[in-house]
Amino acid sequence: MKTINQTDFTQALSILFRETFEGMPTPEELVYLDLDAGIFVTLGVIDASQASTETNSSTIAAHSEHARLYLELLDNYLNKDLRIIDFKQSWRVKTVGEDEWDALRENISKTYRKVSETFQKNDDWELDSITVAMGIIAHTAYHLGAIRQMAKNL
Amino acid sequence: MDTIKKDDFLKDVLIILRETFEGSPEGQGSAYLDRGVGIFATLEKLSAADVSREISDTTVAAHTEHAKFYLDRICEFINGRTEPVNWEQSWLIETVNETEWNFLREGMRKSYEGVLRCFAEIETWNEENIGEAVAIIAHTAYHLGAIRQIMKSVKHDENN
Repeated sequence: MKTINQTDFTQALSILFRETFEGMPTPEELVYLDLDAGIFVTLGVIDASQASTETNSSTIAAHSEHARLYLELLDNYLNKDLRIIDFKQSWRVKTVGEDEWDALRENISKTYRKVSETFQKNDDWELDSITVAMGIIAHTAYHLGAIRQMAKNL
Repeated sequence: MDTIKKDDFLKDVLIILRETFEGSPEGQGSAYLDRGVGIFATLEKLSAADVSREISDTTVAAHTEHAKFYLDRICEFINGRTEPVNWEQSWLIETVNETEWNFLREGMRKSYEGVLRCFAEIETWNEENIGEAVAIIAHTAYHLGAIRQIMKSVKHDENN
């Protein structure tokens, strides 16, 4: 049976996950985003009023909370916490005040750190968990692309 | 266990890749997209005029060509390319006529099929090519998210 080293998968996954949120410090290290295009930099320059502005029937605040809750949900799954969450709840935030926007961004940061730790400590990647991990990156990238396009309309 | 079954990994990569392009299969759960939201279904609904409409300094045609270009180049890297890529060339297309748009969509399908073949032929998965495979998924997902927003803006403009 042909195999892949667990550490190779964890390392590759962690690099892509980090780029998605933190971006990369130099152009040479970029894998798929432009410089300063990660989640944190993108949301860091948007204020609560902009995040609450309706664009294409949604808001940046809504996409941010949706992406965050997806992270939390799948992190729970990777940690064998199978509580059922009503995922429709992920779209409940539409507009935010400055304090709520700061709290939401801080919550994204906390959830990101939690998922990073989950990836690093997982030493038993298998069929389900690999799908979930790649789904986390793909889902966040999808909403990052949407958010950055919405931000251009502001 | 300190290893992953190669077949498990390949199966997972293909599940997410297929969902990104073809959408999630009927009757099965989806990993990260809503139903009918893959690249092909998204682009199929758009005319050449739609994808050539400039929204915030860009077009759907531009994002589509860029995403296709990335697929082709990363597959070349997986297959041993070492010379650097001039990524600015991926943004040369801005507008298309119907013939060019059909050609671009067909090109996207061919590039996707090329990625499927490229992944299937990998003998040894390591940190580098795993990263490239996940990057193909992430990069396409990113531009799919952008394209769907541009599409909404185009449709909104048409209706107002």
